[in-house]
Amino acid sequence: MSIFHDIAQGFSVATSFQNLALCFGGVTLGTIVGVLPGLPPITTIAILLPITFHLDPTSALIMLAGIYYGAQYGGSQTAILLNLPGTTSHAVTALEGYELSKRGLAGPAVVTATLASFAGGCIATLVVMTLAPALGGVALRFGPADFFSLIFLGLIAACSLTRGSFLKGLCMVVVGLLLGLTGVDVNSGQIRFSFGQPGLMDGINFIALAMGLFGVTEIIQRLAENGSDEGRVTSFRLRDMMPSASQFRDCVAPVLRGSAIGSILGIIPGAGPTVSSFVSYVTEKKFSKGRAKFGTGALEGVAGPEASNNAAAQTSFIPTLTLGLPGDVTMALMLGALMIHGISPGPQVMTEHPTLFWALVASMWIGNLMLLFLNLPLVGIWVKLLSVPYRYLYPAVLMFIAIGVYSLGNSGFDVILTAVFGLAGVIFVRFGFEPAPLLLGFILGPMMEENFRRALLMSHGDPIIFVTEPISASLLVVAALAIGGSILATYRRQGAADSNAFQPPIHTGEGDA
Amino acid sequence: MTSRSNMPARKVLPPILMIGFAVVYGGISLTYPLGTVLRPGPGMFPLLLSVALLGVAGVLLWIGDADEIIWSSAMLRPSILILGSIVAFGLSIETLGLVPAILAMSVLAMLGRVGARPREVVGLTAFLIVISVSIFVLGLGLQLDLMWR
Repeated sequence: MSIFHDIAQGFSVATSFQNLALCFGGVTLGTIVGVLPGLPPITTIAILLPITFHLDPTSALIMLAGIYYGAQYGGSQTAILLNLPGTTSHAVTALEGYELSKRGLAGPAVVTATLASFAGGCIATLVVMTLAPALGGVALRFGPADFFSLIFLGLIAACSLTRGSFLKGLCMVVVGLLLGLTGVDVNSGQIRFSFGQPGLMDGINFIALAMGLFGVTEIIQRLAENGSDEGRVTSFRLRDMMPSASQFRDCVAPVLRGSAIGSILGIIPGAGPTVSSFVSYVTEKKFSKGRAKFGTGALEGVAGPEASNNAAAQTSFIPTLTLGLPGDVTMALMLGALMIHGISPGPQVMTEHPTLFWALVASMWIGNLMLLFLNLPLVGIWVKLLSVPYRYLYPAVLMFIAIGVYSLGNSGFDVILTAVFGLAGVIFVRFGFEPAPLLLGFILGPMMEENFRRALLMSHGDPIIFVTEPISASLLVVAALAIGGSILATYRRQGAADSNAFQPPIHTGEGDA
Repeated sequence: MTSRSNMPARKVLPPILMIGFAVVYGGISLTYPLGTVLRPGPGMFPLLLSVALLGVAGVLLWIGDADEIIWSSAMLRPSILILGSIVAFGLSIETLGLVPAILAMSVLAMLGRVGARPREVVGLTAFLIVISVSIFVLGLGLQLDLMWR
């Protein structure tokens, strides 16, 4: 069939010398800007976007792919090294990645993230090539009730992320959902939960939320331990950065599972890519060989979600381009950039502009490959960041966070909001609430409400639609089983918990509040 | 040392925090139109969420919380000064400009650590001003006022 011709043509466009050079430039710039703490992928891409404006559409798109990967890669660095996740999926990477960093294993964690994300990208590219025409229709089969239930399942998966209790994870998810509703309600124009602050009318700034809850909270925690330089890496030879052969083997299955999860969920627009790394993390926590190490730094917990996240990014191009429904905010920005270059999404994009579609898929893959060769030798340089004594590192990190948050909307209010969430983060962590599920709830809140309303509208107000639609019903059954299992496990643990209570990692205090 | 006693307050504070959040958000939701089941208004979904949160927090309160709140007085100084440094940046960036904002932030942040030496504070602050101006203003071309206009 001509599809192979289209694929070949796409690759040949993407591999011209000029385009390879642009991709290389994009990857390099994306990494350099993206690795600055406080500048998440979305900011990095937004800052670098204007560079591509005067290129022709295909070249611009290829450079964008490079920037996208560079930014994503830079984002996973800051998540692993400094606990500064700029996206929801990086919040998952940070769970195990940062624990590894604190144990001086930042090198293997970063290398694993890079390799796993490359593997996930490759597998998903193959999936897109072989199944793209068939997959385009799958997304259309998803009705509002199904979306609602998928989001519900994703949120339940996120509750199981927590090192503490399932119920506390559930609390965090609901708090996230509620915070996500801040701002103007699209259906009625009602401004909700803005507490009279003009700065909240457009909703809470995600970056302020993420940087506050994770980055600022972590700095305060470390300083309370008097800023010890734990996790100092002393050797920066490439050999010491690499995971050992056995660690490498242990990560193969998580990468494969993560790629499968990401490839499937990526096709579902909206919630899919966001949920995928959470689902992968929970899967590995339950099934991988190293599940006992989860929570204290498990490479499997970095490998699975990174593979899943990147696989989902690849397959999410199908709904992004055919339905115009981006998978997450970063993809939404990419889509916007493509539209600036005259590429309008729609069902015809794959049939009418096959070269462009495949050039995009090809350039994403090449961007990913280039990143691998460009950055593996440089891992030592990024990890060296951790050799800076913490007392010099944290003021710099704070400054980057503040400037990064401010530059998003030139809003001093957002910076102050970061401090508010920093305080909330400290209280949450002290109280045993893990903040990662909150982020997922925050992102999915508006989407969940929207589909909830639409489903009820379709069923004429009868909530039974959530259990009569087959896809929705099966997703809800899985979610119900997960809830039942987790509550049972919590209950059992409770019995044995008294002598072995969960301890947040701080033991220096002398007084109590 | 942190006390590990099972004082009741340690167990009930986390669920009570959540109950408080649920009550506040549920109360605000009630001030928005609820709509009908067929056409839910802006208050419906947040109200349902608040009720769900109330329920979950209630269960948490009932079965008891296995975790312990570990709070120490060592948290106080970094909490106040680090959060204060961010607020100072947020308040001064729009009116005073980038350089004074970093100055205020850096000094407060450095004081958040016990045992900061004055020479280090001055040196690092100067360094941060130089790198932030060169990276963000000169390198990335962000529109930031260096000083007040």
